[in-house]
Amino acid sequence: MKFRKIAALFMAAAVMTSMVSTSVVFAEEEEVVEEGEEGEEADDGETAEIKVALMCFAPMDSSVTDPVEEALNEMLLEKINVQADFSWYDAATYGTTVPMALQSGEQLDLIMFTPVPGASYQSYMNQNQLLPITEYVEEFGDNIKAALGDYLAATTKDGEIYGVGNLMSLYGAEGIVMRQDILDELGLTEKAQNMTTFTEYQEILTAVVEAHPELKGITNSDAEGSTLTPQPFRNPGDSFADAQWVDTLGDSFQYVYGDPETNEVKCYFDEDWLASVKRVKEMYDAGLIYKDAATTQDYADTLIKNGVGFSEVKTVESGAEAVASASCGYPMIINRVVNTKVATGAFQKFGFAVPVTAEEPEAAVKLINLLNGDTEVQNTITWGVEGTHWVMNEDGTLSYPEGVTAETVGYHTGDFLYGNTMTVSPWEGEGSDTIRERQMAENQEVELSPFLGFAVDSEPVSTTIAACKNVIDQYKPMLSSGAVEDVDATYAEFMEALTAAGMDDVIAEYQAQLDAWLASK
Amino acid sequence: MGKAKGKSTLDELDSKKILIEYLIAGILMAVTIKLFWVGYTYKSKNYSLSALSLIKGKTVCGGKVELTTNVCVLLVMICAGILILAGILSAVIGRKKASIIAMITTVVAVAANLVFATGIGNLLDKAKNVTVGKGSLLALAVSFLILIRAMYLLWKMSVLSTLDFMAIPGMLYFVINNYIPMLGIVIAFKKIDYRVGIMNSPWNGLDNFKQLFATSTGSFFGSDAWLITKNTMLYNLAFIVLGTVVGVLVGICLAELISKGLQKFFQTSILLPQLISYVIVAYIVYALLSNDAGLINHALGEGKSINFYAQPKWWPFILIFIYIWKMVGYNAIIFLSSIVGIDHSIYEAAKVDGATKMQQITKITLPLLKPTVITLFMLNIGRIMYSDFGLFYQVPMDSGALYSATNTIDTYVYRCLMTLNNISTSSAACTYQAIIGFILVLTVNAIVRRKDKENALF
Repeated sequence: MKFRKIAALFMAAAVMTSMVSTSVVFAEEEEVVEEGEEGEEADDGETAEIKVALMCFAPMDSSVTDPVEEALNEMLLEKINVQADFSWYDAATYGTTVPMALQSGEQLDLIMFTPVPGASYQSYMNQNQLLPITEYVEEFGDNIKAALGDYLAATTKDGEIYGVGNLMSLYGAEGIVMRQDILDELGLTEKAQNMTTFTEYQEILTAVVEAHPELKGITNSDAEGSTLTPQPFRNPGDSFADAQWVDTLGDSFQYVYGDPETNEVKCYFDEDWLASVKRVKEMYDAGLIYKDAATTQDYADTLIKNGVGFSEVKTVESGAEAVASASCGYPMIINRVVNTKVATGAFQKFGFAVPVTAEEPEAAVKLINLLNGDTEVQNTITWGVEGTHWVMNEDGTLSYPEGVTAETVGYHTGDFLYGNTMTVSPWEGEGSDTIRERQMAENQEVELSPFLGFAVDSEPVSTTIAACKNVIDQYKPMLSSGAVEDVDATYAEFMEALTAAGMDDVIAEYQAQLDAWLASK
Repeated sequence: MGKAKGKSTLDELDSKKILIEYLIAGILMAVTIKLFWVGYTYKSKNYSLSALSLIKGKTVCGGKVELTTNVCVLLVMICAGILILAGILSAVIGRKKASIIAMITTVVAVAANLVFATGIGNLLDKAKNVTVGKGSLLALAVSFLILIRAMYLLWKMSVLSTLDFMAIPGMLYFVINNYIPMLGIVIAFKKIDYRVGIMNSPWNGLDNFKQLFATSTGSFFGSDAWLITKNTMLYNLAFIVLGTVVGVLVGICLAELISKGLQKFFQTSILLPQLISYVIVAYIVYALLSNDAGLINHALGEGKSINFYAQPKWWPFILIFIYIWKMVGYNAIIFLSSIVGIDHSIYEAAKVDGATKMQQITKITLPLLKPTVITLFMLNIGRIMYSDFGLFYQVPMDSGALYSATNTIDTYVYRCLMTLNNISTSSAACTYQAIIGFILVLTVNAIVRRKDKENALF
């Protein structure tokens, strides 16, 4: 009974309200579609709010990142009238969180593309997840254009810019990294620094393994068991002079490369690779390679730090000795075998992009612009809050404030992560007061690959690539770590399976794309 | 009417009153068509959209956003119409039918309204401060009220019982969590283009299934689909059969222990592996099997070492062994509790008749365990297409060389997604898994039902 009365009363009230509001409704303006053009300016005076997803090395608690976010927002409000909600994720989390956020369609205005497979430039482009930002870069991207200039071609497709790669030190090389203390102990330091053939390297390894049986020699530089031959290098001959760097044509999987002499697209796993692999097998049999290189989930740095490995072969940049020594925990020396050239992939490794879920793409591009030239903002985002996480020295380098060490600082990332490396103040270290000048000089001198600006589009052959990847995952770790019985037989199987999976179709497709690009130049 | 105490009086169930209530509510909801349902800000000016324009379609935000007929709003209006009809016709079709119709339509109206309210953010993504308007709220309130009213009336009329109401929260959870996401199956048949969103992406038929069924040898048996199906089903069959056999054996052994203390101790310690995560198990296995420091390779000696992580032939045994080691405690305890429940007088009678231990076990314990075994078997068959991700991905250390022996549907989907970042192909594999699992459950249930009607699941 009571319920009925209450319901009846409510109904009456509702009817009255609606009748009253109906008359009020027409007082509000119904939108009229305006004919003619409208100004492209943003809501004047209104602060744009954006969401940004950043990658960092190690997970950082919000108590650490909140002061940095606050400091950044102060600067952003002042400089570009933007407020940003930053989120920091470590590499593994980034690779799973950001693709999922993009798929869910929530607002996300600025993301990074990284070497992490799910969050790479290629994978975003294949899924059409990036917004073209050509017009915004034209209008608001002065720093971007000044820093990158023609290099923007690496992240351009069909005339539209989709991403802004980070300008970093472009110098790279295949480096043999070795523990200096052991070499000093055995008196082999000079030999290591001057060696020019792999036979000498083998001799050094033999001596080390004999003197220190607990050190297992060469450890893997990546998660796929690459020991002597990291991608994109091959070492077919004995002499270092024969070592090759190949341009992988912007293929994030690095299964193909372009031969600059014949303009042909070839499979990375060809005879030259086989020659390198044979040498690996020799070394494996001689006990000079870590036997679990193909299976272990740890990289060389961890293994060397824990006293299991002695050496690794990987891509190094200038000043890599300091970095390697820091991460391996022992003094390391590096012997550089062959230099890299600047390829498209260099600008697709790390950078920023605006995803399709962005609600304020203009503001996002303005932020990218700041990260490509504004040292104040860049120093804050890279090293933390001035005074709390760093102080500036007289020579322009930065160091920890009084009483703060690497363990206690909390916020500390790398200078190549967020935007233009050249405009980030360098961290103190040997020669770092002049490092930016040296890096810029090196950048001028570094050789450019003839295929710079071309990136393969793997979308038409994506299923074939997945099938090929299955085959490569099956055979490559074994072969490149030496853990096979018969190299030739396994390699023959590998090639057969790869052809069956359709590698030739992939190469044909890429060749057609390359020819079209060469013709249009 | 003379119904039981506490039930309705004639007054309350008067059809005329019901008619009026439904009619008023329906009209109210229909009236909201003129009220505005959405408010937003565009270029610092406030605008509003009425339900009418949402149904007719409009171009707003200076031409940047085109609104087509909004299904949710249309649905709400249709429900209003049906409600009015139900009210008018309630004299003809009777209170019960009218109330049932009212309940169903108001549920739909409430759901559609909620979907609309949560979706307007995406609808008007170029505008700011998108808010739900008065009209939408009013329609929501009215339909919700009528929903409650209809349910109350049905309860009074003994159409719905108290138990039905108790089941509603559980059913609601079930519908939201299990049934509504089934709509996601469309992803397997579309080519997802994030620029237009999932719902508007173009259909591409069975293209996404191509990779799954792609075969290099020309027959189905060379394809990925066959490999992963074979692996999943064979492993699960082995798990079920061996798991049951070992579980029963251990259960019987535990039951035979005289000392209760020892029984408890063994129960707990056999159950311990169940609690260890597969990641840790993976490293325990790695310690045993690795080339460099592995215990097994050490024991075999230099030169005779086996590279376990590169040879698929060992892995069926290894994986089955690890699974049994992990699950035996759980299974044994289930069987133990069934055995403990068997009446002791049967055993005593058997002993008096001179039965040996073996005979007691085979003739008494095993037959009485049959219902438990069959129920567990049926439940496990339902999960035959699912594999434990930890077991098949972590324990082989994600080693590519072992794919032929350790790739199951779940790991295949994961690798697809992580390599290509393509949810369409992964959804295709998941759909395949769901369909095969569905067919299997129905088939096995039909077979069991033929033999033993009592023990079939449905």
